[in-house]
Amino acid sequence: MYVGIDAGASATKVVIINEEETILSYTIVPSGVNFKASSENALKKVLEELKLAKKDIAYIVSTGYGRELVESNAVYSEITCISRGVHKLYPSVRTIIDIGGQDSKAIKVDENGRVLDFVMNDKCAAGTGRFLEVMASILGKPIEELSALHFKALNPVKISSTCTVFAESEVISYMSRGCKIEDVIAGLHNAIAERIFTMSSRIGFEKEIAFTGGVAKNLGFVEALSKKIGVKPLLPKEPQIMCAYGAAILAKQSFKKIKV
Amino acid sequence: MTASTAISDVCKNPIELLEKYKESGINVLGYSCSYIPEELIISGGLQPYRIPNLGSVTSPLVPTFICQFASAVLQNILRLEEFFSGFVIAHTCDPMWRLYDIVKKKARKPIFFLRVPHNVEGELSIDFFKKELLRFKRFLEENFDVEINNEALRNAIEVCNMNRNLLKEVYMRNSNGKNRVNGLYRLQLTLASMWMPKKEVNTQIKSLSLENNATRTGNVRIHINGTAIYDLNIIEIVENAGCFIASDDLCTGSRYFWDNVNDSEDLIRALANRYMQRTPCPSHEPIEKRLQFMDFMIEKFKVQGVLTIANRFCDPMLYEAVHVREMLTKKHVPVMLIDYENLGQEAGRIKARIEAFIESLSELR
Amino acid sequence: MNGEKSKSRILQTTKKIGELILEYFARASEAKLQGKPVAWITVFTPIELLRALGIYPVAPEHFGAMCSARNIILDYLEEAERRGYSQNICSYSRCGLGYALSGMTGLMPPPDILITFRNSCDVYVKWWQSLHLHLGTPLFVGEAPYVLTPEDLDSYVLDYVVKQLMELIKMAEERFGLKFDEEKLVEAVKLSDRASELWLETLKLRKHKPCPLGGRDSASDIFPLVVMQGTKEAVQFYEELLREVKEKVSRKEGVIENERHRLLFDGIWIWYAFDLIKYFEDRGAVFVYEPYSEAWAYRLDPSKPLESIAKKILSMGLNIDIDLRIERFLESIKEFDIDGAVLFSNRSCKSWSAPQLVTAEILGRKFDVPYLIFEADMADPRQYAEAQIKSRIDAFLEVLGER
Repeated sequence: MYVGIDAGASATKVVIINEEETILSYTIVPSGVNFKASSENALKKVLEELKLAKKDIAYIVSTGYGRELVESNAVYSEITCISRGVHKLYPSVRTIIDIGGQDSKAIKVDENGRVLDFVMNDKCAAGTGRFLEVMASILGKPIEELSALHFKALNPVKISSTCTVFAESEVISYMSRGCKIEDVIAGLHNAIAERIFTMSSRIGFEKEIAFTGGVAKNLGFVEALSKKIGVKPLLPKEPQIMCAYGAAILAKQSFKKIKV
Repeated sequence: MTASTAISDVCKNPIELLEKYKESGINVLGYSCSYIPEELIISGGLQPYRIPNLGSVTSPLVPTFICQFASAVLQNILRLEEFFSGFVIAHTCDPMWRLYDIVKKKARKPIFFLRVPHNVEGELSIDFFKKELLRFKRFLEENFDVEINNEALRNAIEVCNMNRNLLKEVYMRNSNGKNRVNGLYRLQLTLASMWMPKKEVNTQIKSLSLENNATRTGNVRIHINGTAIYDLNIIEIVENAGCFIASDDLCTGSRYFWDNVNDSEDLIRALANRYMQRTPCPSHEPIEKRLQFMDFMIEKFKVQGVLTIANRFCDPMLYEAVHVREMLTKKHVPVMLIDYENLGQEAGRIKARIEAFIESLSELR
Repeated sequence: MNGEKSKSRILQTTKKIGELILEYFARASEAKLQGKPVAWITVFTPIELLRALGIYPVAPEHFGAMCSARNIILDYLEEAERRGYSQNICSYSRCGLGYALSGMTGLMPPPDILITFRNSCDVYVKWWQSLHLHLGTPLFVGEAPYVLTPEDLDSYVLDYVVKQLMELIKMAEERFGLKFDEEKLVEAVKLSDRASELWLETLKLRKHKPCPLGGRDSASDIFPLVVMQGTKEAVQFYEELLREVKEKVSRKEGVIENERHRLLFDGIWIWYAFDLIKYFEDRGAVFVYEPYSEAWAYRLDPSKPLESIAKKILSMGLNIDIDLRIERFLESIKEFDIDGAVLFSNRSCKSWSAPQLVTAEILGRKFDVPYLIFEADMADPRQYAEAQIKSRIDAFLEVLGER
């Protein structure tokens, strides 16, 4: 068994795979402030579910924001991990757009899943899950409801600010003017899609294109981004664990290298 | 691995050196940039000291969208004024231009503004710059009661040329794919040359044994494209992430020492020639010369990837980065832009990015 | 504070600017079709000289302001950003680069030559370099050294600029087979000088109470002195404008009826938010002086044409020593009986904004002039926090009201 741990700033994802690189089990827990503790708990959960013990694990790779704080055999960047995970699932993928809680990335890969180029937005909340969290809380809606509301929108508003703080004022202004909440949400999704489109343009949009990351669970947003790029993306069933999955695949690779 | 104790001490705590100068009664002239001829300052009997942006400080006197570099240099000038006898600021980019305005209103010591033509090519620019240097010479003579004659100038040029030769010799050891002297080490030697008395730093560099200095050989040979870097931490982050910094085009790196001053009847003219003809800074034109210089470095030092390191609000680098990328894409040399404002806060993020970059390079080899 | 709204007016002559702009672009396309070289210039470039060479000047900075005012700038900004240009660089340049990189099928014809003189900022050099690298168009970069003392205008500093003008002439003649016409130069200088004279006279009339010409007028009225110097049309426009303003003064008609506060505005206008100027006017506050409006006028001496033009390039508002700039502020505060200063910290213009806090502090502390500083971008509408800015303005006007 091989384990991948993606210790993200908001959530920690643990994936365990077998020799055939099939996902046996996975879990997603909030990272909190103690990466070591949350990753250990997450790993315990996953092992308990499979009725396995730590000694059954051959190799652990950690990645993500808190990767150095987690107990593991090796550390890899999220870029490499995501590309491995997505390539395994969709070998035809050439462009991956990952939208996480704290950052967003666009990765260009070759036919072997190797990273050719990448671009990141890791400085600014706009264009990440954080942006939606802030807005959802202003609108008084749980994140999970945003997708359904998006599809109800008939007249999405235009959010012009590229800064989260300014956009907040715009949202408040629209709501106080009586705009429908679904139109505001669709407007917000379009704003993020715009940011991500601009960022990713440098990489290009070679098909097939996959969306990953926590925000890709929001199908309303997925629609906004697909429309903006003009493409039908490949969407993993569990987009949030692709990075941890890739880390687990790298764990197997690294372990094999040692054995040889 | 650090350079000699004297040099590494100075780099760890450059302010301490200012205190020593003050105690010894040495007159220190603070200068902002590599367009300012140290030779003139030295020939006037003053110790040149290049003002760094160190200390994670910013100035409350400028808006937040002014780059941290200018903001910190400004803050350092004002809070360390007591250690200086005067300042000279060169006209490079807009924030550094306005830094002169602000220091003029806020500081008490004499200050000189050196107008550097932004188009460095052509006889008109060299001629104008020569006249500016004569004006600078007069400023030094009037404010510090000295007379700068040809002999003093010639001696100063000699010791500066010697310094440049020594630094270049160290730098060239990495040519043709050899990993001999890492970036951290070389930056320390260069910074020390901008802060310590030239004779002393020359002696120190000559006495270094460089045979065993290639530690942290890393796997990937990188070229750093940027402006003025004083912070050893960013270099350490880069080299700890698996890079070997084989070459650079920094103002506090190769472009500081790449060209010498030729001897001549007209030494001021010779200075003007050297400073106008060396590879220009990102704020200057023609950009083609900069791209050619980078191209030369990449070939000569067998570079595998380029890191463009810039302050988030550095206009010259932000424009240039697009063209650097275009050039390197054509050459199939991977390049990544790292921009930041506060290294202390952003070190983790930068490290993650470089590691991802290195991994992608390793994969493709 | 009171929310009493005053009616505020724009001058009739100002309304003609829109047409003038379209005509000017139409002529640019005509020139292109006739095989005349079109130059993309940064402003405060020797346009009078270009007329003597038969080169038609077009100013991408003005284009950026216009696109922003007409709400069509976003596509260009986004195109530049997609090509890798950071959002933190000048929005005029992002607009111009985005336009150049997307086919140039709009109002500005593609350039045959790129001409800049570094006087306002270093971004001129970088932006023009980038255009040159993208388009392959020949580039002329001139330097107008920072004027440290008035004596510079008679020294080797002036000499350097004059010689560069001569190099520009040589380059244009060789490159395009043009012939420099000394007579045309003198004619252009005379016309440019006359337009400047008229505009300066008009601006002085803002001393009157109530002020006859406000911010929304001056923002548009500068246009002929931005790119149309040396033409008869520019002179005609300013003659008409001066007539109208004189009439207003004689009838004691101002921009607003209830003029409570007379303000100075420091900075480039916020092109997509002219309603902000009206926000002030609705609260009884009128702008009576802007360094930006004054900057475009400069008296020239037709008997020394090249020298005059060189002095003009050197003396543009941002290119003279800070003490000279502060002196002018203080003069204008007295001259126009100004109660307070509004300073726009423009994210796009570091050259202007970097020393602004220090200038404001001097005005406030040493000369007891109340001031307001707020931050936004001059042309990028995505960098504008309307609610926050308006509440700051309210607070500022309350302070003025208490005095």
